[in-house]
Amino acid sequence: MRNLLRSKSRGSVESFITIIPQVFIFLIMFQLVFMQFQVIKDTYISQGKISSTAIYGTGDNFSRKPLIGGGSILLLEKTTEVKKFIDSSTSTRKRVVAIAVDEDSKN
Amino acid sequence: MQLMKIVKIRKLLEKSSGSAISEFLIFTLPFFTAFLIMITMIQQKAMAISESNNLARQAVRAFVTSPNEELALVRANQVIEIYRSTLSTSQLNSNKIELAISCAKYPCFSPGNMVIATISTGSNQIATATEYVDLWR
Repeated sequence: MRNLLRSKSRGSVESFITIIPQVFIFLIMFQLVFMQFQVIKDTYISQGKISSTAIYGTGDNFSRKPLIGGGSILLLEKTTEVKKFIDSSTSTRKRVVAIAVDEDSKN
Repeated sequence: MQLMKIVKIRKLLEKSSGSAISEFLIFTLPFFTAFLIMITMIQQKAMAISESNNLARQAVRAFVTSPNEELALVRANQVIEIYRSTLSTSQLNSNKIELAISCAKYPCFSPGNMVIATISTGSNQIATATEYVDLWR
């Protein structure tokens, strides 16, 4: 086994050159899948949170806007940071907006 | 003529030397590019579905919880306007949100009536949500 690892192996330069863009594209693709999954996940979680806030009246970090005729509209604006695989030093920011109607008890 | 054909077929069947990794990469690079575009499109579609479904639900909820008929449509439109105000200019231009309210019978705001809100967004996405007007109105 040791001999096999130490032994010289032949390879083509062309293969090495072509494998670099291949790996790069694969990493970008993986990054995109991960980022998109994070954004979709955050959207659904934020929507769930604001909907439960409208029902139970609990929760924070949302803005309340009055609705004509009674009740209010709850808005949750969240900026999430998504880590990068390729460039780990910087992160990408993505904004998620969730909205729910908090109806007036009189209506 | 036939001999020429046989020679061509033989040439095609001949073994040719080449790097397997290069061939693999030539085939997979366009595939990955297409896959990348497809993933982005799927994500955009998923977001559009989620956005339109939720807006339709909230708009119809604002409509049926209105204290009177005059304010019902105004309330539903207000939900859409407030959501629009959170979007950036580029998002607004690419994603035009339109609301249409239809009812099972008219006048719309009668007890037990079925109200349907239809939301259409710029990405050819249409979502509907149904609610009933309170029976004790």
